Amino acid sequence: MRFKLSIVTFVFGLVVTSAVGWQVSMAQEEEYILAHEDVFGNLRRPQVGFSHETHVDKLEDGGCGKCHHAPDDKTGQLGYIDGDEQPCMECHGLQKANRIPALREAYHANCTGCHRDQIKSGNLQSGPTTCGGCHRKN
Amino acid sequence: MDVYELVRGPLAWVALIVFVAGCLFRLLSTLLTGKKETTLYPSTSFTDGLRSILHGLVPFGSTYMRRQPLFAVVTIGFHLCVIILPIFLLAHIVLWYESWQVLWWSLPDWLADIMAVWIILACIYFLVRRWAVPEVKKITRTTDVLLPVMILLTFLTGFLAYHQWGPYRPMLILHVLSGEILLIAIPFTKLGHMLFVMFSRAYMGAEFGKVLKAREW
Repeated sequence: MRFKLSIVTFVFGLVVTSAVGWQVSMAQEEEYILAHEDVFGNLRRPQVGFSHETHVDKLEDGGCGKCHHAPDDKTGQLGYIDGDEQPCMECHGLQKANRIPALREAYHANCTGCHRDQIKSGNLQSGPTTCGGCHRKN
Repeated sequence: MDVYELVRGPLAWVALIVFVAGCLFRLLSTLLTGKKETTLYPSTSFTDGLRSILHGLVPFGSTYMRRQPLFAVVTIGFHLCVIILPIFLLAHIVLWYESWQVLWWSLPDWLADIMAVWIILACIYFLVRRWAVPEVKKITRTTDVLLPVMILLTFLTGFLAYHQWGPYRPMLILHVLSGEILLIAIPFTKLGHMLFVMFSRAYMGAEFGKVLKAREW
């Protein structure tokens, strides 16, 4: 009896530890606050709440590259490199550099651009497209 | 059907095209279909025309501005703000980038706020003046009330939307819509004075200066 219980406890502990470990290793939070005062200085609009989880659910497979687009070492083409998901500001700074858009422009183009495309193609439940839709004053 | 997408997309196209084409049409038809005056002393004078335009632009240059100083201050501020604010407002610039990938300098937000409030108060001043000043009331028609009201609505909804006071999406949609109505109205209403004031001012200046050898008010 005790042996069976310890087996069950061990397996249970293993499962829980793996789940927590998986979450931690994926480094995803429930909702990110996109403010970037380190880049923008004083913010001119309220900070944006971004749910990574919602976007992972909506975009399903192959959608990660929509945001996590890194240039390929050889070809320079933008694409998704599994395991190399950097935050946006790693490449996008305050000002435009070479052909890399500035951080604000990159956010707007990527976020509202996608949401507007979604709405135009019929998915009316897509994300916000207005200024205050994302920059919500709470 | 997303209303914001409608006003942001197709209606914006319509407003801009009607505005540009309408202004071109009004300018060309006015300049090209004007009759050559059959008088002994034709009054074309570039220097007199230019002098008159500058005289009208300089604050407190013209006699009316000197006689009505408060009105002069209100309207000079109003005109400066109403031209500068829509072009250099950050929110508008972000939209231009979203559509055309063009970007330019933006006003600081505190200054944009002051300019918007000036315009709103100026519109209220103009409307009250239309009712309270007898010589103005006598010549006031519907358009003279409707246009300041439209301008007031546009800047008020924009101001409220920026501060997110009130229901945000409807406020924003109303703002875009009233702006589009204003754009369409400019070539076909008294707001067209933005196109023509130079010409009428130049004509008056040339007429007074070259022919009558006098300065106009």
